[in-house]
Amino acid sequence: MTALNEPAIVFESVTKSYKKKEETVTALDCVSFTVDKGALVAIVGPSGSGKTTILNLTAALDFPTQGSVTVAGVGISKLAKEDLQKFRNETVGVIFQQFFLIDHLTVFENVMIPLIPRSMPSAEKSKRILGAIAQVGLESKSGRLPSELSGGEVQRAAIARGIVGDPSVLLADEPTGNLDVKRGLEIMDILAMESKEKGKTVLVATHDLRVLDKADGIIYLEDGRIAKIEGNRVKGNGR
Amino acid sequence: MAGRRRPLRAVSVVFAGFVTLIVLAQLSVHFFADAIPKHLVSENEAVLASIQRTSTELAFVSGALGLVFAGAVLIITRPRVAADIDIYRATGLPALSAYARVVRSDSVRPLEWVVLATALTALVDAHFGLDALLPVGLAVAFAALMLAWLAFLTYVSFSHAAFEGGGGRSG
Repeated sequence: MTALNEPAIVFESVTKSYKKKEETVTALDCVSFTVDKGALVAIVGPSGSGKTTILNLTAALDFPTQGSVTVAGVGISKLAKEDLQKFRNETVGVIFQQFFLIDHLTVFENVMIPLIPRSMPSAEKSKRILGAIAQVGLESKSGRLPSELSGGEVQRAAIARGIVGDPSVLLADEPTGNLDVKRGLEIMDILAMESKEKGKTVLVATHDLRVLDKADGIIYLEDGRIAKIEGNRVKGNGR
Repeated sequence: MAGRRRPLRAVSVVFAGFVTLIVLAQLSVHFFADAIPKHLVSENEAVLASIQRTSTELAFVSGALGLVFAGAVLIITRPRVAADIDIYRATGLPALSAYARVVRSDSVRPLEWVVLATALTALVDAHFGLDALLPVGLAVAFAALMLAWLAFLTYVSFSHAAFEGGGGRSG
Protein backbone atom coordinates (compact mmCIF):
# COMPACT_ATOMS: atom_id res chain seq x y z
CA MET A 1 0.00 0.00 0.00
CA THR A 2 1.41 3.38 -0.93
CA ALA A 3 1.76 6.00 1.71
CA LEU A 4 -0.46 8.96 1.01
CA ASN A 5 1.09 12.42 0.84
CA GLU A 6 4.47 10.96 0.01
CA PRO A 7 5.71 12.78 -3.10
CA ALA A 8 6.02 10.69 -6.25
CA ILE A 9 7.08 13.56 -8.50
CA VAL A 10 9.12 16.53 -7.36
CA PHE A 11 10.08 19.47 -9.59
CA GLU A 12 12.43 21.91 -7.88
CA SER A 13 13.01 25.26 -9.60
CA VAL A 14 13.02 23.57 -13.00
CA THR A 15 13.87 25.66 -16.01
CA LYS A 16 13.99 24.13 -19.47
CA SER A 17 15.31 26.12 -22.40
CA TYR A 18 15.77 25.05 -26.01
CA LYS A 19 18.00 26.57 -28.63
CA LYS A 20 16.09 27.21 -31.82
CA LYS A 21 18.56 28.48 -34.38
CA GLU A 22 19.97 31.50 -32.58
CA GLU A 23 16.98 32.03 -30.34
CA THR A 24 16.59 30.54 -26.87
CA VAL A 25 13.06 29.39 -26.07
CA THR A 26 12.17 28.88 -22.42
CA ALA A 27 9.60 26.08 -22.22
CA LEU A 28 9.56 26.01 -18.40
CA ASP A 29 10.59 28.87 -16.18
CA CYS A 30 11.54 28.01 -12.60
CA VAL A 31 8.69 25.58 -12.01
CA SER A 32 8.36 23.85 -8.65
CA PHE A 33 5.70 21.38 -7.61
CA THR A 34 5.20 18.03 -5.91
CA VAL A 35 2.64 15.35 -6.71
CA ASP A 36 1.66 12.84 -4.04
CA LYS A 37 1.96 9.13 -4.66
CA GLY A 38 -1.21 7.65 -6.10
CA ALA A 39 -2.66 11.01 -7.16
CA LEU A 40 -4.16 11.72 -10.55
CA VAL A 41 -3.07 15.21 -11.51
CA ALA A 42 -4.03 17.15 -14.61
CA ILE A 43 -1.70 19.69 -16.21
CA VAL A 44 -3.77 22.26 -18.00
CA GLY A 45 -2.71 25.12 -20.21
CA PRO A 46 -2.72 26.46 -23.73
CA SER A 47 -0.56 24.99 -26.46
CA GLY A 48 3.08 25.89 -25.85
CA SER A 49 2.61 26.44 -22.12
CA GLY A 50 4.99 23.62 -21.19
CA LYS A 51 2.68 20.65 -20.53
CA THR A 52 4.52 18.20 -22.77
CA THR A 53 7.87 19.44 -21.48
CA ILE A 54 6.84 18.53 -17.93
CA LEU A 55 5.87 15.04 -19.09
CA ASN A 56 9.12 14.61 -21.03
CA LEU A 57 11.16 15.67 -18.00
CA THR A 58 9.18 13.34 -15.72
CA ALA A 59 9.79 10.46 -18.13
CA ALA A 60 13.51 11.29 -18.29
CA LEU A 61 13.18 11.74 -22.03
CA ASP A 62 14.51 15.24 -21.56
CA PHE A 63 16.52 16.93 -18.85
CA PRO A 64 16.21 20.27 -17.07
CA THR A 65 18.48 23.15 -17.99
CA GLN A 66 18.36 24.18 -14.34
CA GLY A 67 16.79 22.69 -11.23
CA SER A 68 16.05 19.07 -10.45
CA VAL A 69 13.38 16.49 -11.20
CA THR A 70 12.84 13.57 -8.83
CA VAL A 71 10.47 10.75 -9.74
CA ALA A 72 9.76 7.88 -7.36
CA GLY A 73 12.73 8.97 -5.30
CA VAL A 74 15.11 8.98 -8.27
CA GLY A 75 16.87 12.15 -9.42
CA ILE A 76 16.74 11.80 -13.20
CA SER A 77 19.70 14.07 -13.95
CA LYS A 78 22.04 11.84 -11.97
CA LEU A 79 21.13 8.60 -13.70
CA ALA A 80 23.77 6.72 -15.69
CA LYS A 81 22.81 5.45 -19.15
CA GLU A 82 21.85 1.94 -18.04
CA ASP A 83 19.93 3.24 -15.04
CA LEU A 84 18.15 5.71 -17.29
CA GLN A 85 16.92 2.91 -19.53
CA LYS A 86 15.85 0.92 -16.49
CA PHE A 87 14.03 3.98 -15.13
CA ARG A 88 12.19 4.56 -18.41
CA ASN A 89 11.33 0.90 -18.62
CA GLU A 90 10.27 0.18 -15.06
CA THR A 91 9.33 3.40 -13.31
CA VAL A 92 7.32 5.35 -15.87
CA GLY A 93 4.75 4.43 -18.49
CA VAL A 94 4.18 6.98 -21.22
CA ILE A 95 1.05 7.40 -23.31
CA PHE A 96 1.89 9.65 -26.22
CA GLN A 97 -0.06 12.39 -27.87
CA GLN A 98 0.66 11.07 -31.37
CA PHE A 99 2.39 8.05 -32.83
CA PHE A 100 0.57 5.95 -30.27
CA LEU A 101 1.48 2.62 -31.75
CA ILE A 102 3.97 1.19 -34.20
CA ASP A 103 1.98 0.67 -37.39
CA HIS A 104 3.45 -2.62 -38.51
CA LEU A 105 3.10 -4.34 -35.14
CA THR A 106 -0.10 -5.88 -33.85
CA VAL A 107 -1.72 -4.70 -30.62
CA PHE A 108 -0.11 -7.64 -28.80
CA GLU A 109 3.33 -6.82 -30.24
CA ASN A 110 2.97 -3.13 -29.42
CA VAL A 111 1.96 -3.84 -25.85
CA MET A 112 4.90 -6.23 -25.56
CA ILE A 113 7.54 -3.53 -26.20
CA PRO A 114 8.15 -2.48 -22.56
CA LEU A 115 8.63 -6.12 -21.59
CA ILE A 116 11.35 -6.76 -24.19
CA PRO A 117 14.23 -5.79 -21.88
CA ARG A 118 12.70 -7.59 -18.89
CA SER A 119 14.14 -10.93 -17.99
CA MET A 120 11.09 -13.06 -17.33
CA PRO A 121 9.74 -16.25 -18.88
CA SER A 122 7.89 -15.68 -22.15
CA ALA A 123 4.77 -17.32 -20.69
CA GLU A 124 4.79 -14.73 -17.92
CA LYS A 125 5.27 -11.96 -20.50
CA SER A 126 2.32 -13.23 -22.54
CA LYS A 127 0.17 -13.42 -19.42
CA ARG A 128 0.97 -9.82 -18.50
CA ILE A 129 0.42 -8.58 -22.06
CA LEU A 130 -2.95 -10.31 -22.34
CA GLY A 131 -3.87 -9.04 -18.87
CA ALA A 132 -3.10 -5.45 -19.85
CA ILE A 133 -5.00 -5.83 -23.12
CA ALA A 134 -7.98 -7.29 -21.25
CA GLN A 135 -7.87 -4.45 -18.74
CA VAL A 136 -8.48 -1.93 -21.51
CA GLY A 137 -11.14 -4.13 -23.12
CA LEU A 138 -9.32 -5.13 -26.30
CA GLU A 139 -9.19 -8.90 -25.74
CA SER A 140 -10.73 -9.65 -29.11
CA LYS A 141 -8.37 -7.32 -30.95
CA SER A 142 -4.93 -8.32 -29.73
CA GLY A 143 -4.00 -9.65 -33.17
CA ARG A 144 -5.15 -6.55 -35.03
CA LEU A 145 -2.93 -3.88 -36.55
CA PRO A 146 -3.39 -0.26 -35.42
CA SER A 147 -4.83 0.58 -38.85
CA GLU A 148 -7.69 -1.81 -38.09
CA LEU A 149 -8.65 -0.09 -34.82
CA SER A 150 -10.76 2.97 -34.08
CA GLY A 151 -9.19 6.05 -32.49
CA GLY A 152 -10.45 5.06 -29.05
CA GLU A 153 -9.14 1.53 -29.43
CA VAL A 154 -5.72 2.78 -30.50
CA GLN A 155 -5.60 4.96 -27.42
CA ARG A 156 -6.65 2.08 -25.19
CA ALA A 157 -3.94 -0.10 -26.73
CA ALA A 158 -1.46 2.70 -25.99
CA ILE A 159 -2.64 2.68 -22.37
CA ALA A 160 -2.18 -1.10 -22.25
CA ARG A 161 1.42 -0.56 -23.38
CA GLY A 162 1.82 2.11 -20.71
CA ILE A 163 0.60 -0.13 -17.88
CA VAL A 164 1.94 -3.54 -18.94
CA GLY A 165 5.27 -2.97 -17.23
CA ASP A 166 3.52 -2.04 -13.97
CA PRO A 167 5.20 1.38 -13.64
CA SER A 168 4.59 3.44 -10.54
CA VAL A 169 4.07 6.61 -12.59
CA LEU A 170 1.84 6.94 -15.65
CA LEU A 171 2.20 9.93 -17.96
CA ALA A 172 -0.45 10.70 -20.55
CA ASP A 173 -0.22 13.47 -23.12
CA GLU A 174 -3.66 14.57 -24.31
CA PRO A 175 -5.07 11.04 -23.94
CA THR A 176 -8.60 12.12 -24.80
CA GLY A 177 -7.60 14.69 -27.40
CA ASN A 178 -9.16 13.24 -30.53
CA LEU A 179 -11.93 11.20 -28.95
CA ASP A 180 -15.65 11.76 -28.57
CA VAL A 181 -17.17 12.25 -25.10
CA LYS A 182 -17.95 8.57 -24.48
CA ARG A 183 -14.53 7.29 -25.59
CA GLY A 184 -12.79 10.08 -23.72
CA LEU A 185 -14.58 9.15 -20.49
CA GLU A 186 -13.66 5.49 -20.97
CA ILE A 187 -10.00 6.45 -21.25
CA MET A 188 -10.21 8.64 -18.14
CA ASP A 189 -11.95 5.82 -16.23
CA ILE A 190 -9.04 3.52 -17.02
CA LEU A 191 -6.49 6.10 -15.87
CA ALA A 192 -8.52 6.90 -12.75
CA MET A 193 -8.68 3.19 -11.91
CA GLU A 194 -4.90 2.93 -12.18
CA SER A 195 -4.64 5.77 -9.68
CA LYS A 196 -7.42 4.90 -7.24
CA GLU A 197 -7.22 1.11 -7.21
CA LYS A 198 -3.57 0.44 -7.97
CA GLY A 199 -2.02 3.45 -6.32
CA LYS A 200 -0.22 4.64 -9.43
CA THR A 201 0.62 8.29 -9.81
CA VAL A 202 -0.94 9.61 -12.99
CA LEU A 203 0.04 12.88 -14.66
CA VAL A 204 -2.20 13.93 -17.53
CA ALA A 205 -1.48 16.86 -19.84
CA THR A 206 -4.74 18.00 -21.32
CA HIS A 207 -6.93 20.66 -22.84
CA ASP A 208 -9.97 18.53 -22.04
CA LEU A 209 -12.09 19.80 -19.16
CA ARG A 210 -13.69 16.35 -18.75
CA VAL A 211 -10.38 15.14 -17.36
CA LEU A 212 -10.55 17.61 -14.51
CA ASP A 213 -13.54 15.86 -12.91
CA LYS A 214 -11.42 12.78 -12.31
CA ALA A 215 -8.33 14.64 -11.11
CA ASP A 216 -7.12 14.91 -7.50
CA GLY A 217 -5.23 18.05 -8.42
CA ILE A 218 -4.76 20.49 -11.27
CA ILE A 219 -1.68 22.42 -12.32
CA TYR A 220 -2.51 25.40 -14.52
CA LEU A 221 0.38 26.48 -16.76
CA GLU A 222 0.86 29.73 -18.60
CA ASP A 223 3.93 30.58 -20.66
CA GLY A 224 6.06 27.95 -18.94
CA ARG A 225 5.08 28.99 -15.42
CA ILE A 226 2.59 27.66 -12.92
CA ALA A 227 -0.34 30.07 -12.86
CA LYS A 228 -2.41 28.23 -10.27
CA ILE A 229 -2.59 24.91 -8.43
CA GLU A 230 -5.75 23.24 -7.17
CA GLY A 231 -6.20 20.18 -4.99
CA ASN A 232 -4.54 18.98 -1.85
CA ARG A 233 -2.43 16.24 -3.41
CA VAL A 234 -0.31 18.60 -5.46
CA LYS A 235 1.64 21.57 -4.12
CA GLY A 236 3.73 24.15 -5.90
CA ASN A 237 4.79 27.67 -6.66
CA GLY A 238 1.63 28.98 -8.31
CA ARG A 239 1.35 32.69 -8.67
CA MET B 1 -7.82 -6.82 -43.61
CA ALA B 2 -5.38 -3.95 -43.82
CA GLY B 3 -1.80 -4.75 -44.69
CA ARG B 4 1.13 -3.99 -42.45
CA ARG B 5 2.41 -0.57 -43.35
CA ARG B 6 6.16 -0.62 -43.57
CA PRO B 7 7.60 2.74 -44.52
CA LEU B 8 10.82 1.26 -45.83
CA ARG B 9 9.08 -1.07 -48.24
CA ALA B 10 8.90 1.75 -50.79
CA VAL B 11 12.69 1.77 -50.77
CA SER B 12 12.79 -1.82 -51.93
CA VAL B 13 10.50 -1.04 -54.87
CA VAL B 14 12.81 1.79 -55.94
CA PHE B 15 15.81 -0.45 -55.53
CA ALA B 16 14.27 -3.33 -57.49
CA GLY B 17 13.42 -0.92 -60.32
CA PHE B 18 17.00 0.21 -60.68
CA VAL B 19 18.45 -3.28 -60.46
CA THR B 20 16.09 -4.16 -63.31
CA LEU B 21 17.44 -1.21 -65.29
CA ILE B 22 20.99 -2.41 -64.80
CA VAL B 23 20.13 -5.92 -65.94
CA LEU B 24 18.28 -4.54 -68.97
CA ALA B 25 21.28 -2.37 -69.85
CA GLN B 26 23.57 -5.39 -69.60
CA LEU B 27 21.24 -7.63 -71.57
CA SER B 28 20.63 -5.06 -74.29
CA VAL B 29 24.27 -4.93 -75.26
CA HIS B 30 24.51 -8.71 -75.03
CA PHE B 31 21.60 -9.29 -77.40
CA PHE B 32 22.65 -6.43 -79.63
CA ALA B 33 26.12 -7.92 -79.98
CA ASP B 34 24.58 -11.35 -80.62
CA ALA B 35 22.37 -9.87 -83.31
CA ILE B 36 25.29 -8.58 -85.35
CA PRO B 37 26.28 -11.22 -87.90
CA LYS B 38 29.63 -12.77 -87.09
CA HIS B 39 31.23 -11.75 -90.39
CA LEU B 40 30.39 -8.12 -89.65
CA VAL B 41 31.75 -8.11 -86.12
CA SER B 42 35.36 -7.81 -87.20
CA GLU B 43 34.48 -4.88 -89.44
CA ASN B 44 32.48 -3.17 -86.72
CA GLU B 45 34.63 -3.68 -83.63
CA ALA B 46 34.77 0.03 -82.97
CA VAL B 47 30.98 0.31 -83.14
CA LEU B 48 30.55 -2.70 -80.86
CA ALA B 49 33.04 -1.32 -78.37
CA SER B 50 31.14 1.95 -78.37
CA ILE B 51 27.86 0.15 -77.70
CA GLN B 52 29.43 -1.79 -74.86
CA ARG B 53 30.88 1.40 -73.40
CA THR B 54 27.51 3.16 -73.59
CA SER B 55 25.80 0.16 -72.01
CA THR B 56 28.29 0.08 -69.15
CA GLU B 57 27.81 3.80 -68.61
CA LEU B 58 24.03 3.29 -68.58
CA ALA B 59 24.37 0.52 -66.02
CA PHE B 60 26.55 2.71 -63.78
CA VAL B 61 24.18 5.65 -64.11
CA SER B 62 21.26 3.36 -63.22
CA GLY B 63 23.14 2.15 -60.18
CA ALA B 64 23.98 5.68 -59.05
CA LEU B 65 20.42 6.87 -59.64
CA GLY B 66 19.14 3.83 -57.75
CA LEU B 67 21.18 4.80 -54.73
CA VAL B 68 20.13 8.44 -54.99
CA PHE B 69 16.44 7.56 -55.25
CA ALA B 70 16.66 4.96 -52.50
CA GLY B 71 18.36 7.62 -50.36
CA ALA B 72 15.55 10.07 -51.13
CA VAL B 73 12.90 7.55 -50.14
CA LEU B 74 14.81 6.83 -46.93
CA ILE B 75 14.78 10.54 -46.12
CA ILE B 76 11.06 10.84 -46.93
CA THR B 77 10.23 7.94 -44.60
CA ARG B 78 12.39 9.34 -41.81
CA PRO B 79 9.59 10.80 -39.60
CA ARG B 80 7.77 7.49 -39.37
CA VAL B 81 10.86 5.41 -38.74
CA ALA B 82 12.19 7.97 -36.24
CA ALA B 83 8.84 7.93 -34.39
CA ASP B 84 9.09 4.16 -34.01
CA ILE B 85 12.63 4.47 -32.66
CA ASP B 86 11.44 7.19 -30.24
CA ILE B 87 8.83 4.79 -28.90
CA TYR B 88 11.49 2.13 -28.31
CA ARG B 89 13.62 4.72 -26.52
CA ALA B 90 10.73 5.97 -24.38
CA THR B 91 9.86 2.45 -23.27
CA GLY B 92 13.40 1.91 -22.02
CA LEU B 93 14.94 -0.26 -24.72
CA PRO B 94 18.71 0.10 -25.13
CA ALA B 95 19.85 1.72 -28.40
CA LEU B 96 21.23 -1.53 -29.83
CA SER B 97 18.04 -3.38 -29.08
CA ALA B 98 15.97 -0.61 -30.70
CA TYR B 99 18.22 -0.69 -33.78
CA ALA B 100 17.95 -4.45 -34.04
CA ARG B 101 14.17 -4.25 -33.80
CA VAL B 102 13.90 -1.58 -36.48
CA VAL B 103 16.18 -3.54 -38.80
CA ARG B 104 14.32 -6.77 -38.14
CA SER B 105 10.75 -5.61 -38.01
CA ASP B 106 10.66 -2.76 -40.44
CA SER B 107 13.34 -3.10 -43.04
CA VAL B 108 13.46 -6.86 -43.21
CA ARG B 109 11.43 -6.73 -46.43
CA PRO B 110 13.75 -4.31 -48.25
CA LEU B 111 16.72 -6.42 -47.22
CA GLU B 112 14.96 -9.53 -48.46
CA TRP B 113 14.29 -7.72 -51.74
CA VAL B 114 17.97 -6.82 -51.98
CA VAL B 115 19.00 -10.42 -51.58
CA LEU B 116 16.32 -11.67 -53.99
CA ALA B 117 17.01 -9.07 -56.70
CA THR B 118 20.74 -9.61 -56.40
CA ALA B 119 20.38 -13.38 -56.65
CA LEU B 120 18.13 -13.10 -59.73
CA THR B 121 20.48 -10.61 -61.36
CA ALA B 122 23.51 -12.77 -60.65
CA LEU B 123 21.68 -15.77 -62.16
CA VAL B 124 20.71 -13.81 -65.28
CA ASP B 125 24.24 -12.44 -65.63
CA ALA B 126 25.78 -15.88 -65.12
CA HIS B 127 23.41 -17.40 -67.69
CA PHE B 128 24.33 -14.85 -70.34
CA GLY B 129 27.98 -14.66 -69.36
CA LEU B 130 27.70 -11.07 -68.16
CA ASP B 131 29.51 -9.26 -65.37
CA ALA B 132 27.42 -9.50 -62.18
CA LEU B 133 29.72 -7.24 -60.21
CA LEU B 134 27.73 -4.05 -60.78
CA PRO B 135 24.29 -5.22 -59.60
CA VAL B 136 25.86 -7.10 -56.70
CA GLY B 137 27.85 -3.99 -55.80
CA LEU B 138 24.71 -1.91 -55.96
CA ALA B 139 22.89 -4.33 -53.68
CA VAL B 140 25.69 -4.26 -51.13
CA ALA B 141 25.84 -0.45 -51.32
CA PHE B 142 22.07 -0.24 -50.88
CA ALA B 143 22.05 -2.58 -47.88
CA ALA B 144 24.94 -0.63 -46.34
CA LEU B 145 23.12 2.65 -47.00
CA MET B 146 19.94 1.46 -45.32
CA LEU B 147 21.66 -0.08 -42.30
CA ALA B 148 23.82 3.02 -41.87
CA TRP B 149 20.75 5.26 -42.17
CA LEU B 150 18.85 3.29 -39.53
CA ALA B 151 21.92 3.39 -37.28
CA PHE B 152 22.05 7.16 -37.78
CA LEU B 153 18.36 7.58 -36.91
CA THR B 154 18.80 5.42 -33.81
CA TYR B 155 21.82 7.44 -32.75
CA VAL B 156 19.96 10.72 -33.27
CA SER B 157 16.96 9.55 -31.27
CA PHE B 158 19.00 8.20 -28.38
CA SER B 159 21.29 11.21 -28.16
CA HIS B 160 18.51 13.71 -28.69
CA ALA B 161 18.04 16.25 -25.94
CA ALA B 162 14.35 16.71 -26.70
CA PHE B 163 11.90 13.92 -27.28
CA GLU B 164 9.74 14.13 -30.37
CA GLY B 165 7.62 11.05 -29.93
CA GLY B 166 4.67 13.27 -29.20
CA GLY B 167 4.80 14.57 -32.73
CA GLY B 168 7.48 17.14 -32.05
CA ARG B 169 5.08 19.34 -30.20
CA SER B 170 5.75 20.85 -26.83
CA GLY B 171 2.36 21.73 -25.51
